Amino acid sequence: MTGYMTEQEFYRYVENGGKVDATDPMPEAYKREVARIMSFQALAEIVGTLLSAEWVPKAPSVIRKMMYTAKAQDEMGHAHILIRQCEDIGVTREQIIEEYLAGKRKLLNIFHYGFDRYEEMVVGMLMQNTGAIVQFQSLVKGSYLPYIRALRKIMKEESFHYNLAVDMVEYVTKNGTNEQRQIIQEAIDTWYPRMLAYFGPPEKGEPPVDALRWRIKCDTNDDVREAWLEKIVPLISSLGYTIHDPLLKKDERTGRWSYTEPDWEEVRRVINDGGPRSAYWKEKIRKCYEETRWVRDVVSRYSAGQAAAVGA
Amino acid sequence: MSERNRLQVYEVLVQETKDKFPVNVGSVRAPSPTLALQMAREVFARRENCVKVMVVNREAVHVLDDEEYLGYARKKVFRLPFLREREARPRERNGKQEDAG
Repeated sequence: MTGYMTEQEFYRYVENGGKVDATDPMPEAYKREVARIMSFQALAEIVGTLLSAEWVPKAPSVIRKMMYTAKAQDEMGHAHILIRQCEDIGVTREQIIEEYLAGKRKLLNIFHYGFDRYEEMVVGMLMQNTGAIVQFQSLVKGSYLPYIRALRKIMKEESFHYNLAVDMVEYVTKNGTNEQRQIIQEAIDTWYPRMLAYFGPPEKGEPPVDALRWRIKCDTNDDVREAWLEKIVPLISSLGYTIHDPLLKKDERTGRWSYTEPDWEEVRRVINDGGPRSAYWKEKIRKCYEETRWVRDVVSRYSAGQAAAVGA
Repeated sequence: MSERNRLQVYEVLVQETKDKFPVNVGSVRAPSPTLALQMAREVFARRENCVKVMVVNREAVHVLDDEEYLGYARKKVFRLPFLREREARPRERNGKQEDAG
């Protein structure tokens, strides 16, 4: 489709809603930007897997343990689907993990924190899943077709995780103790500002960033943040809890939300220098990567044998 | 050759039910067809039922993707069941116009 286009024509094409496939010719800058965004999400899914897997032994019943095993598998499945798309444009899975371990790749702010208790974890999941859903709903309108196809598959399972999170919060609320309900409310207070920051700082006043201009991203960070508020505010109150933000309000005329701006200095510090669990996750991934090296070596030797057998 | 280059990309096809054709749903990277099938089942058929999973080495797939060539089938007037001038007229389902063709 994009085969006969000059670079300028290509950019005009995507700016006007044109779609691009992995096999189409595309400018290096566009390819880099697509790979950057997809590999960023892929890394998040890998960390998400470990985060879910960690709660398998700690979950309070056998059925919840099984549900968490399924969730961890889903996250790894998402990572795999995204990584395949990255590899098709030149970024490998080894590169994503090794660059993260070498400190060349940053994690989302929410992955620099952890959960001390089950009740806190279920709230975190509720917040994170709703955030991911609104973000994917925006990204799926983008210009890069392999990412769109990947997101469609991921969104199906993400809505399962969302329902699971709602169910867990409801279950603890209904059957738990006052102390447990208190922890849920405190977790909402803790995670709400982190989630506001999760969508990134506003692009205010600056010329549109490349990702937006080329429609790899389709909405500004502020728009996605407000789409999340639109979803989470009624949800939290329907579950019987409160978001404690004195500035939180929807202007019914414009449809825009006002809220307490996250402390962006703090967010940048956490992303660059780490938060309470940054070192923990990195060490865990390093260990996983090293401990499973023998599996990759076996696979590698085996495939060498296969290649030799067919004379390739 | 490095470890990462030895692995091959396999396109994955999933047949949801027997009355449908298999559909290409994505790809996996694996050292052999057997392991590619295992990975495909794990990634694409873990949550949803299906009757068949297939993998094809991407290098074995022949591709035609000239959109202009493939996109003009509907523009061939002789493939339409009626003459071009009929198009402008409103279609009358059980009326006389139908057999005037």
